[in-house]
Amino acid sequence: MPQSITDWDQDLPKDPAEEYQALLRALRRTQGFGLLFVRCSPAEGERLIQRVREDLPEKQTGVLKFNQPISDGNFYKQVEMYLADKGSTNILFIQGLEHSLYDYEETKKRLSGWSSEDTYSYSWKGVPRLLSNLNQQRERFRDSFNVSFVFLVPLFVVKYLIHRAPDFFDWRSGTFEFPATEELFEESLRLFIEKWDIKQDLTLNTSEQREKALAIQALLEEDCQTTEQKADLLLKQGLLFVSIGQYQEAIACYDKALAIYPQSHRIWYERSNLLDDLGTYDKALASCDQALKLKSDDHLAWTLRGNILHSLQRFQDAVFSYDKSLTIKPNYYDAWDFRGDALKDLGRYEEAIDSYDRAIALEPEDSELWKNRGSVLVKLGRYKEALASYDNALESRPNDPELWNSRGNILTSLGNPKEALISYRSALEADPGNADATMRILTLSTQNSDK
Amino acid sequence: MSEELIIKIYNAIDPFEPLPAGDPAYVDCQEERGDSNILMDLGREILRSKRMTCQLYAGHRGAGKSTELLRLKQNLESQGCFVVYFAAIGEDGDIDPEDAQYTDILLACTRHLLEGLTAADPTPLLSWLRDRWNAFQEVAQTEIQFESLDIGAQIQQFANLSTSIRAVPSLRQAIRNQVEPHTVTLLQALNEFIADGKNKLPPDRSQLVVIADNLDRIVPIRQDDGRSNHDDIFLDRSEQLKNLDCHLVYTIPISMVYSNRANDLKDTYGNPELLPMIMVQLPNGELYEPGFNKVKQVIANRVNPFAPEADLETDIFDSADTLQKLCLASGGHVRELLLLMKEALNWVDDLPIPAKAIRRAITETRDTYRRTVEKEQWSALANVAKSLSIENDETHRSLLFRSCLMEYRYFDDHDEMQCWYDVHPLIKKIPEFKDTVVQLKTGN
Repeated sequence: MPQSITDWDQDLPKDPAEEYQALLRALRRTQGFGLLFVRCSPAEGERLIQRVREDLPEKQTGVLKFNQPISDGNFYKQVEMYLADKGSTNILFIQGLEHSLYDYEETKKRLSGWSSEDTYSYSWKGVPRLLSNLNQQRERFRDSFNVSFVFLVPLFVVKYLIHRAPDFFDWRSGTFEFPATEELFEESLRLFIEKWDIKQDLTLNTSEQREKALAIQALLEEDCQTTEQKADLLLKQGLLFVSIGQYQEAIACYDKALAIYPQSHRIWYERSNLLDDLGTYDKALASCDQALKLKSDDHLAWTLRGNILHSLQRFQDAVFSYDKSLTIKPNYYDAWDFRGDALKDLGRYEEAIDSYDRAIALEPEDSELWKNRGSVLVKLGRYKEALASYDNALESRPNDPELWNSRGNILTSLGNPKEALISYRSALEADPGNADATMRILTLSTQNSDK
Repeated sequence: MSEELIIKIYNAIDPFEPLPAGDPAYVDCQEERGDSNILMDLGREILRSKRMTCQLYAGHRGAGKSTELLRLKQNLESQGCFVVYFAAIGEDGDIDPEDAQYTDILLACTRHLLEGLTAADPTPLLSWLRDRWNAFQEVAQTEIQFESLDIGAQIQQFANLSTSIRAVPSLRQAIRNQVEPHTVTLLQALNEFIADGKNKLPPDRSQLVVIADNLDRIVPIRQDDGRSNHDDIFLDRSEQLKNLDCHLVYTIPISMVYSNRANDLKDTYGNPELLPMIMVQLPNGELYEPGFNKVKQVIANRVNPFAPEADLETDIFDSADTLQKLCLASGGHVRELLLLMKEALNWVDDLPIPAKAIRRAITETRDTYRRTVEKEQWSALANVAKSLSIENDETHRSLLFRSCLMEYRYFDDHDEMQCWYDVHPLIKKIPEFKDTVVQLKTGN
């Protein structure tokens, strides 16, 4: 036997230089129609096109690049138009098909790593038009275009084609893979993170979201990265999902990141934060405790922990967490504010007022703090001070009907219905349909007419 | 010289085209496919039956269904049948595979019968269409007056309807809504047309056969009630599918044969004909010489026209072993074999093809399978490898549909047909699979 069985069972390691030679052979030999699939990053794709042009000068090459989804999914038509315009072409490179696949529920599920069971409940219903176009028109491609198509696509598109356009993919003359070199990866990652940092608030429009998500996906598919880099990309993918309201997908991203890099307190924290928002407090608490185990001096995590405990009605424990946060960062006014809320729910009003005062000292313009302070003073029956607090709150939020209503209530308690009436009217002015204000005004008017 | 030969072979092994009947590249693999012989099975039923028959034909994608059906067509024609064959999906197809309903199939049949039976009197069908014309006019927003058209153009309107359903999604449902309540009358008209057509067949033809190919590419769409459009078409509408007054052969998706509706299907149509893989290994893993030779023959037939003198085991491949590994890696799946061969040629500058190139092709193709299998399907695969049988559920159906599982048939020593299943040979060496097999063993 020239080869032992084990040799045949082993996969041969891939060598980019050999892979490229194989691609060249396939392109050189294909007469007429052919389908070749190349898995690579967009940057690597550009380089490949250049190299092929230099190495196969006898072939007419063209590039059909999409930066946007093909709106009707009719890829066939796009090719037809391009070739009509371009004329004789032997090799046509296709770039950017991923844009047409991103806006599908299934894509998002797959990207975030949902199991197929979950994705299959979407089965076929939302198959991207692009894919059915490929599947359905494959004979037309063969008969109309005397061209070798080279699809430069990210890995997730390769998988998509295998699953959702199997008839089209079956006709290939070869698949080729060009993973990014370490150098190229580092460069792409650096560029991406630079861009990411510029627009961190994540108020992105749809096409910006798509671009970011696809960029993350392209980076995630590369092998030459540390688990830390990969986890960070998954975290960003998760944050992106949060920004578009896809919470389950975001959780899935965080879980994937933590599976490979559990020592990241930031990911545990973001996961906890989202679980808290989703109202799953027990899970949020566990996640937050993990974050704190890894970094016990994180005031944000202690604050979040306080909020979760507050939601769980464990007010005393919440206060303890806020205290921890404030030992680490005494001028974090949010924590003083939340601490005040917890103390208020514990009935420890004096301490609550102290807490709000600390917050106000740091952030005197924040009307919410004044309002909270005022509400505790009301509980203590210290109406005059409460009135002053609400007046302060109203300075920056003069159009808040609730503030006006509360002010009216305080004035009523102070025995000043005239002033109270003015307050309620201001509430009504700010919000003409305000039921509370309307009722109060009616009551006061009746009382007045009774006198 | 070698490069020139490679280019010829390279372009001859395209998986794009089913072989036309009588093509020299065809290899008869009847025995190695568990005695599956379309001429004997589907063909004989048609030739012998006194009543009209309606038969189903299923098989893996790329296993050679269309090639076999084209053979059937030729064979039936030589035995006195008039055959209307059409590929319902594909080039000039009538049906959008992603959104197909029974009405689409009925219209497609109508259209192709009209085009095939040119001698028959189209009046019944035309008057059916005339009665619907106002409604269609409204739907299609056309001013065309039916009466103003000549007969040819009137006939053409059936093709137009069919094309609109496939190509214009916005019109699709509206046209169906017009046809749906009148399918019974359309069938009546069609049968009248067929009856007249059968009287006017060419002198040497006596039977009429319709073969609707490619229906297996209709994408399964699961509805909210858990049923699929496949159920709707092939079961709920079976009476109508069968009701054409001629012999019928419909291709169906292989997953349908294995669905929980398999029994209903059998009750309705009898056992569907299934085209299994060419068996290259026995259930115990030993090489099955006859099947292996057939697969070699498939390659030889593609190479021979360009290199009649070449010896496969020395001139084309560097050794008998290399050739054997290629054949075994295909699992007896013809399209897969061609793909592997093509992929291997990408890795060589010269003939013969060395072992390394085949290994390279295997590596690339294995990657594709690794990506085909979903995370939680590995254990199902490991179980099939052990039991050589499949369970009747969604997971196994989907694995069959994607050729991760393959069906083989053979006759045992007692001449009993044995049917068994195996995991695709390339999958067996994927680490995830091997790990799952180990887990399965240790778990027990």
